[in-house]
Amino acid sequence: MTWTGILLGTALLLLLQRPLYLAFLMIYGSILFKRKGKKPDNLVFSFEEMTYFVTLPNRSPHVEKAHSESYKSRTSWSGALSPSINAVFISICEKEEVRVAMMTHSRFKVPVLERMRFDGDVSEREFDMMKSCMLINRHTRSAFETEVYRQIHREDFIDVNNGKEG
Amino acid sequence: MWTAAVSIFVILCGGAALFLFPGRLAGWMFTAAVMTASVFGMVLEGADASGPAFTAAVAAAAVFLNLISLSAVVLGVSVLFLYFGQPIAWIAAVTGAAFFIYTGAWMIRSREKKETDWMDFYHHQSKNLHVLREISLVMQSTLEPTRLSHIFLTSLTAGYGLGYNRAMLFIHKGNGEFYGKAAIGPLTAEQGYDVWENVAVQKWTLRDFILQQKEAESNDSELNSLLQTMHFSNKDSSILYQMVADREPLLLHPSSLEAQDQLSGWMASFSISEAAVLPLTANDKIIGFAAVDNIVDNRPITYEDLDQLMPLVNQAAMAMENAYLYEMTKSMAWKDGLTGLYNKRYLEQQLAHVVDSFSRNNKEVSVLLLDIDYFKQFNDTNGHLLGDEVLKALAEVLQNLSGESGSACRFGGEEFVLLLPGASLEEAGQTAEQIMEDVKKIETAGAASQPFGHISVSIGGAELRRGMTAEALLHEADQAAYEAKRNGRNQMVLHEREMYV
Repeated sequence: MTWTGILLGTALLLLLQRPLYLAFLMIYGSILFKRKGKKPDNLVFSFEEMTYFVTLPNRSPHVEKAHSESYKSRTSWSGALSPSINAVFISICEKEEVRVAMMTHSRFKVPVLERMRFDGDVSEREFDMMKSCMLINRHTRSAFETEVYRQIHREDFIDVNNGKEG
Repeated sequence: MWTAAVSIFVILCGGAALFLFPGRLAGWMFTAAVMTASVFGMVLEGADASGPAFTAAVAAAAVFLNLISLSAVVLGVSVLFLYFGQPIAWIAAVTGAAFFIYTGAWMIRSREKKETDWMDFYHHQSKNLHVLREISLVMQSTLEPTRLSHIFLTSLTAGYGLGYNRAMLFIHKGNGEFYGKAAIGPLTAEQGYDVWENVAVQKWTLRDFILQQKEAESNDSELNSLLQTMHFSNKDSSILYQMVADREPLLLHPSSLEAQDQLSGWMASFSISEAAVLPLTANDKIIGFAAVDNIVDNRPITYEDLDQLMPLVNQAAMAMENAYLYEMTKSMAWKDGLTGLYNKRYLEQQLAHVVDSFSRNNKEVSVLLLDIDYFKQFNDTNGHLLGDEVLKALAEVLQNLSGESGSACRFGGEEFVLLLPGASLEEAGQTAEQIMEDVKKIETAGAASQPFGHISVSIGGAELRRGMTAEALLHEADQAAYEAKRNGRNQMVLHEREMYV
């Protein structure tokens, strides 16, 4: 009975580790943000380090014609026994899923957090936790989806001379 | 017990074989041997006696081969022992489970590391390709050297570009002399964070940065002022000498430089802890070099970075060389060789543009046409070389008075035209007065022997009116200049309203 309990408990822990980590991240992350007087929804971040799996702009019909609502983001995890957030993938989900872009945790830059780390206001662990919180934040992911859609549909021509002769 | 001894012997032999003949095949042979020995042992002597040997052998093989499935077998067998109630099986269970967890975790970690490495590699390649594509498109759209420099430096520094914190451009003026031309980036790390936050708020892309040239120039004015005082010679820098000779990029640390090397002073002035120096080569000659560093985030620059930077640097070098050649050709086609003023071809083109702009914006445009008085007589008396000196001196006067939007042109021979967009006829008259004053002060040998006792000019002025063509405007100015000559020279006449000086 004891062994069965231990085995079942271990299995349950393995299955629920991600939701549990997510809950911990949300709670601890919000405490950290509150302590620093910041709100994840209001912090600015940059899209600069987004990795695209398609060319920009893109004229492939299944990419170009996809509606903005079909752009979905999904969290990618790493670590079998100690889960952590690895990246956010942005895909076009229509008839079939087409992965179009990715923002990895290591390349995701939030200037305010970087500044706090530079000034020594947060430890490396706190910095990582806060960045993870930002990465999976609903607003951040929605902004990623919008940005990827914008980049895919941007104009290829750029007039550096503002209409004047070069 | 002999089976356990055989198993241990096989493990030792296998370990030695793996050490001597490393490779996948040796690993498989070793695994097959230990498993066979252990299974035979279990059949002959019972599970309890050879179980631990089997567990140890298979687990060791699993560790050697990094096979998680074999570790799983160990765990399964160990659990079986446990349920059969064999006391010795406790040890087997713990050992097997430990090996299972260790090998499994190790495998997952190594797979994740490989994935991360691939993602990083992909990110770099994809970003480089995007930047190259975008920059090659943008560079095609201009032939202006300053704009090209801005595009190049932006592509090195913008987050959507290659993302270095700071980039500087040095131009080769010949004989191994390099001058600081332009730079983008912060002077200090603190300044860098401020700019970064601002950029993140604006959500600027690479294109936005390229279009914001004026703003970038004003943001980085302090950096540019310092850079433009920099001047290096490859005679005083072994690093520059090496770069010019090899035409290869270099990675610089303060420790890698000799104290007397000029680049040491540069690194100290800009608080550079590490920099990449990249030669700009076009048509088999060095036209300058670019330098990048990461003053804000202190991200290390690797040799791999140098390789990734070079395709962009080479493309920029070619574009800049083309732009310089174009500028030179344009200057030769549009400028007068003697005076350096614009020529008649340029005047005609510029007049057409100004007239077109007038019809849209209705902004005032005036023209002054000048003729040097008794110039033939001056040449006959003093020689053509002194005559050329007078032409050059007058050109300088006109150049100084043409203002920001005006253009001074040599119309032909001793005739000059000053095109003054934005100036009314009255303002043009004031400029003409100033010209006459300044011309009077030209001190050239033979000037005093001129009929007025100094060099003098006759000036005709006219103002553009609605519906007027460029030719008509020039004609009116010419008529006024003729009138000034007819009235005795050394004076100006404004068309419609006559004034005598």
